[in-house]
Amino acid sequence: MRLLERLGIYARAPDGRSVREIEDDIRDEIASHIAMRTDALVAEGVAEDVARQRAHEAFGDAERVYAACRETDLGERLMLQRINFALMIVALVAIGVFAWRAEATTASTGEAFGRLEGQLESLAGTVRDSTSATSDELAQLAGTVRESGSSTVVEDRIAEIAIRLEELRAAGAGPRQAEVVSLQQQIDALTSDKLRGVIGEGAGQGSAGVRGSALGVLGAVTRPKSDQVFVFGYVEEPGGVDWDKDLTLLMALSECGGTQQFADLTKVRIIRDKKKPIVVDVKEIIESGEGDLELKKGDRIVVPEAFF
Amino acid sequence: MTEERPDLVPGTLDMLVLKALSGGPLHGYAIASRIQVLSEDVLRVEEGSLYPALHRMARRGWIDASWGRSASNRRAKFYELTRDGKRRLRERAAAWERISDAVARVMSAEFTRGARGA
Repeated sequence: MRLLERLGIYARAPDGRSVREIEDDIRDEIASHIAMRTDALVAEGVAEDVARQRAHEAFGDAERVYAACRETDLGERLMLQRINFALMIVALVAIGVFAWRAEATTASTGEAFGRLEGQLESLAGTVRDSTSATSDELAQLAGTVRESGSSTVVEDRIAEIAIRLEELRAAGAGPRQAEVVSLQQQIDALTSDKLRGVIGEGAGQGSAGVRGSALGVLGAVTRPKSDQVFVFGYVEEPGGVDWDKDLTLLMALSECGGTQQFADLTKVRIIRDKKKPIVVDVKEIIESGEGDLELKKGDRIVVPEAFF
Repeated sequence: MTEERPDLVPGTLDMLVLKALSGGPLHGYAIASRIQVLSEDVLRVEEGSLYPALHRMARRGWIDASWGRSASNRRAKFYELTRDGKRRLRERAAAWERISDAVARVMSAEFTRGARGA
């Protein structure tokens, strides 16, 4: 009880009046007291103005009395106001820190993808200069990437691949010029359009998208035979398909287990030699039954993701 | 030459206010006046201390307050004892009686000049 009293909390229920009403009440009471003292002095024969002055002097510091009474009457309310104020400050600080952290996280996510993009470009540059990467070694590296699950690990693996390609180039192993050119084109495409699209989707999906694209690219260049076509992107089983002169686009997609749910069939690209990619509307071919293209040895087929 | 008024004994203001109110509702000015009259002008309550004490006792539930009209038809705030206030007054009065008796006994003791304590 003593502690509660010290805190300004008394046993009675809170006053139902407003703060203003309580303050006015205290001032009225003090004024009433001074007026009654003045009346008494006037009744004793003291002049009214003198009486009023003596009444004020006898009362003492009216503001101090008012403040003491106000503190008593508004004890809990003043304390609650102080607690509310403190809580508001804490909440504002918490919101500030949260906003700062969110900003920092967004910036850091952007930086991470920026770094990843830079590494891929670096990889493309390395491949561009390389004439010696063998398919078996690339396949091994691609397998390593497949085992990874997070964007950070993918980043590390890409860095390793770049180093490994440098080593292969330095070692002067047997030339696989066609595959290197293919890898170069595909990584160029990845670093320009695809990666930016994936980054635009957001951090969580972005990591998986980048990983999937990297695997698609690597999957397409890991076939040892050159008399194949290569299918990658949003098909069930990306990779090489044995070529013969009757092989068509639909047949190649079929060989890869068909397309995935979110594949964009209206913009399937065929990369042939070093020419500009041919964009084919596979959906139209399926619906009309006409226009299926015959493929040539070494064609690369890219099935993109449909963006909603 | 006027005789100097002694200060109130610390802790007795609440008791004196409760006692003044035991005769019926009074406003602050009347409470101060009654204490002064009953003490034959020996005790004078500091008005600056009276009102904070009245508000504190009201918050503790010992007295209730309500606005009314004074004898001179001034609007004034009247205080009256609650049941808790009456019980508090009995407790404080009993305690005061014991203390004042004890103080009186000590002060009325007579000593033999030159005697030394045991």
